Amino acid sequence: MQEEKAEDKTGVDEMDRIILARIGEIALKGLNRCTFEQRLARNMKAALSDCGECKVRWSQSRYFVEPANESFQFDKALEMLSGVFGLVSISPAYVTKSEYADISALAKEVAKKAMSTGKEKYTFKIETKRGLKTFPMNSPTISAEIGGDLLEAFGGKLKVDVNNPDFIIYIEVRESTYVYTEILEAPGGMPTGSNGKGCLLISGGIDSPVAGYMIAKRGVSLCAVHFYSYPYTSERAKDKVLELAKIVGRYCGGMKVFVVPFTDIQLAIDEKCREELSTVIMRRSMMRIAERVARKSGSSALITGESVGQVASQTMQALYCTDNAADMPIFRPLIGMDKMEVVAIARKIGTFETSILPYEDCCTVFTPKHPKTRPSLSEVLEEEKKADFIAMENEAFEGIEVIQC
Amino acid sequence: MMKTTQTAKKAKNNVIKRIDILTLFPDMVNSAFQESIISRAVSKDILKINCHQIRKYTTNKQGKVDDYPYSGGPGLVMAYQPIADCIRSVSAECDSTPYVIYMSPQGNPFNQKKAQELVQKENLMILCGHYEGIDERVLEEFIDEEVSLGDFVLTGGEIPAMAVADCVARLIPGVLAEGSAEKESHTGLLLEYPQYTRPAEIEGKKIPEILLSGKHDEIEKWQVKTAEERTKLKRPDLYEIYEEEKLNSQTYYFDNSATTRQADVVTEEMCRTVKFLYGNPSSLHHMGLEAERRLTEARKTIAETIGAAEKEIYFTSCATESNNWAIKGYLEANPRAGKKVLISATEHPSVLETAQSLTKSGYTVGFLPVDSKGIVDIEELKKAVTADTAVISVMHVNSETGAIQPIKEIANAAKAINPNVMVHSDCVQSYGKLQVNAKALGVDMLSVSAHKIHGPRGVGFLYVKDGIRIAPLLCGGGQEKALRSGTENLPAIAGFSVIAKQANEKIKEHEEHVKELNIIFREILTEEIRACNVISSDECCPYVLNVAFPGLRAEVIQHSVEQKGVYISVGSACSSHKKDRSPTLTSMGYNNNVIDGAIRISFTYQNTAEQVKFAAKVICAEVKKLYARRKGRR
Repeated sequence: MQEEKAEDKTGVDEMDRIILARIGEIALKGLNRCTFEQRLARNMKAALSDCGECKVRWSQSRYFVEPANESFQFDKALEMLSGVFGLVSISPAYVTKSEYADISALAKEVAKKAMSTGKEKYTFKIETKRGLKTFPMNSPTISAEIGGDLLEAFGGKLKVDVNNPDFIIYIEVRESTYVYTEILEAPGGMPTGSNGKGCLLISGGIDSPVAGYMIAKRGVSLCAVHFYSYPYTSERAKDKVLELAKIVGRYCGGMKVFVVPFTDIQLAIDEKCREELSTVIMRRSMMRIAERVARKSGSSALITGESVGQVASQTMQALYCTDNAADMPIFRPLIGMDKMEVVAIARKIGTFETSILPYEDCCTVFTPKHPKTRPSLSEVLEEEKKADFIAMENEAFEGIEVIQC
Repeated sequence: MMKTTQTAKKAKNNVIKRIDILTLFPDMVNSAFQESIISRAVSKDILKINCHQIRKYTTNKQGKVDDYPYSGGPGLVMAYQPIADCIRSVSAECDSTPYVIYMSPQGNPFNQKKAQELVQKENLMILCGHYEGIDERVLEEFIDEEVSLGDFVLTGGEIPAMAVADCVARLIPGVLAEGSAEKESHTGLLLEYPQYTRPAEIEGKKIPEILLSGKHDEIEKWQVKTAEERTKLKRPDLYEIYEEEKLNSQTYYFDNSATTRQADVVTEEMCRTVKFLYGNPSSLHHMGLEAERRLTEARKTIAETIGAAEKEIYFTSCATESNNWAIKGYLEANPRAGKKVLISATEHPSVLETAQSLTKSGYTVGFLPVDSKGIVDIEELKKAVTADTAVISVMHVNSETGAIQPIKEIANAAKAINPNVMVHSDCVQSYGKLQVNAKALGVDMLSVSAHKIHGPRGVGFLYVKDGIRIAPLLCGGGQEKALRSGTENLPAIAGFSVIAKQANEKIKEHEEHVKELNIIFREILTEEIRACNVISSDECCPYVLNVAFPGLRAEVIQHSVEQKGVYISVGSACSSHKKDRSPTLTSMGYNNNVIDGAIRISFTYQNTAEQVKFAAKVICAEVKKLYARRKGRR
């Protein structure tokens, strides 16, 4: 570590390191673009709050994260930013004055770093963007000249390959000049909080956290409702849901989880209603309670992890019955996805390992043996009359526990 | 606070009537009791307080009560004769023999609890010393208890005596207005909540709104909450005691086969070791030697509990480690011993999984079937053992049912066929509860864990009979005779040895007590719930009681009763990591309907009959509720 640092001192100054971040869709916005940009900057700052002091500024579709001092945790910052919605990619970059000599010197240092992986020979190319039109050379010329300097400096170790190079040196000439080799993927989407608020029904399975993520990606803030059937499910199952909410919350600035005591309603359904319809009736009750939570928390839609045909309660007919219970739009971002596709996203966003912990969630405890796959709304409505849902749901709503995740 | 009311009730049976204070300065003491509440108690005839001048009892003409100390040094010592005569004379006046205390910084600390003890003595006599102290022979002859007001020195015992008398007097029923002593500082282990008096607002400072609300329930909750908060902040030592009492009084823990609450003696021993014996037993210097001595002593203590030699005990981190090592280590060191491993069908996963992992190395694993009581069938065993059998592992007491395996018969039968077979027994659930003697059991190896008998986590041992070869588990610094290297966990080992000794000395006593508890539990459950299916037979180890409620789900029962503070475990699935049914009940021939409804109640000698009755009632009530709900289902 010490040695490495000493070496760095002679070459590039670590203090001249910044993070470049690029935006996607926001750039297409019209006159309200600046509200999105401000929101994104705020979200970036929030994401970086644990990394140390830094400045976040933006100009011309680029965001610049400039560390205030040496204690800034650069790698952690990269990791944090790679989860911020609204950014499409990020690059750790070095900055220097927009003078040819400085750029050339920096490019040499960056190339030297890129060549430290132990290979004998490297191929490279240079891509230049010149935003600063007063700079005397145009982009292809800069690439060619700097490329020449590098070949001269590293002699036989380096060769140009424009089709399949080992590394690319990117040079962006603006008021200052930025040189980098890495472009890391960021999630895209819209800045969190720029598109209102939704209320996620979260169960503890694989799907609902992914559904939450998908909507959050479009800039929607989230809160979550969880239906808790203690003692039929365990406290561990609840902890698991809170953990999932925490993971999804990382992508959308945290979320409140409303834990609804649901045991009595489940028992009443179990006791009074026809077994084959119990799941649909339960889902409808969940929707009604979730809608009340949504209104209370200022959300304008419900979000579920349902996907057509995945289980009996998610057939087209069952979804029709469930949908009917709420007067609010219900978004189902996974509706047309296969389980494997959902699992892939769950792995990517880090919820999969938690989701598969073996604690039963509220959906599985009272599962009937042969649920009706084609329920009709009229029979469901008829069956629902057998229990006093209004009173029970009022009571459940009163008993809600709110947990900030 | 609960505690206070109990003690207050007890106090009503036997309450102090008379306090005698023996002093050289009676005027000083008397003046204190002529004011306020104490004088009211005296005038109401609830209490008599008398002061006696010791000087009056001296036989010497000068009225001298003290003399120079024999050992030399400064000051004077109060002599034997006047005090002795004074005590005797005053005692004669009392209705019953007085309880005599002497105020001294060397005594037991005086606190509210002590006051509650003293208020139950009908006659209390307080001797106040002066000068350098009193002749030691007075203490030996007359004093029941020395009491200290705190860690500081005063000129005489008068001020402490006054404090003690005041504190004790106000605990006498009728001295204070009814109830006002109940919630006061220290009585209920908590400091008092904040007090306010009129006006409700002064100089812009308001009293908490809740006090004006008129909601008595809420106010009471607020009082408890604020009392807790300020105790936690100002007297963390008291708060710790309070928290412990609170937890203990609300917890009915019957999951002692999973783990136990670490005994205080163990914690104390571990703290001592951590603080004073922190040397590494391998170090060559004196501190290393001290640590090594403690380690040797612990090993000796533990070896004695199973009738083994010190050199046959290897400390490990847990019984899972012991079990893994026993089987794998033996086979590694004895590659020509055979290719077959026999285990019972009801082994703990740490034996089962170990055996199964050996199939990859070319071993075959045979399972010894059990009968309906969960006992290994000796005839089946005889059929299974061949010249190719290297290892037999059978647990002593089954953790799920308490079934006791006939280890001795198993070992004898197996060795009769193949004298070279290595017999191992997992004694985790029997050690410290039943007699576990390595020779009497006839085993070559046995595994034990500390935390099942109120010892610490992270320590266990493996007994390896002298002459049996085992391969090293960990290579390194050569600890544990180079078979299990790694710096010894001395604090845990020391703590373990303390509880191991204690548990093994009291096996019979504890077993009888637990047997009674087990019977009470069984009876309540079977009487109240007709469907109850008792899986643990009468011959099982009384520490475990497995009962099934067919048709219910054990996990739901468990969560239902935990709301009332009753902790039991599910009878079959062995942990929160695995959802499968464990093979024990299946191999005993039970169907899934029974297995899924099986709960395990496991005891410790610390459980009481009251706890058992409470827990059994709670389980019955919840089970009835669950059965009733179930009827709704078609």
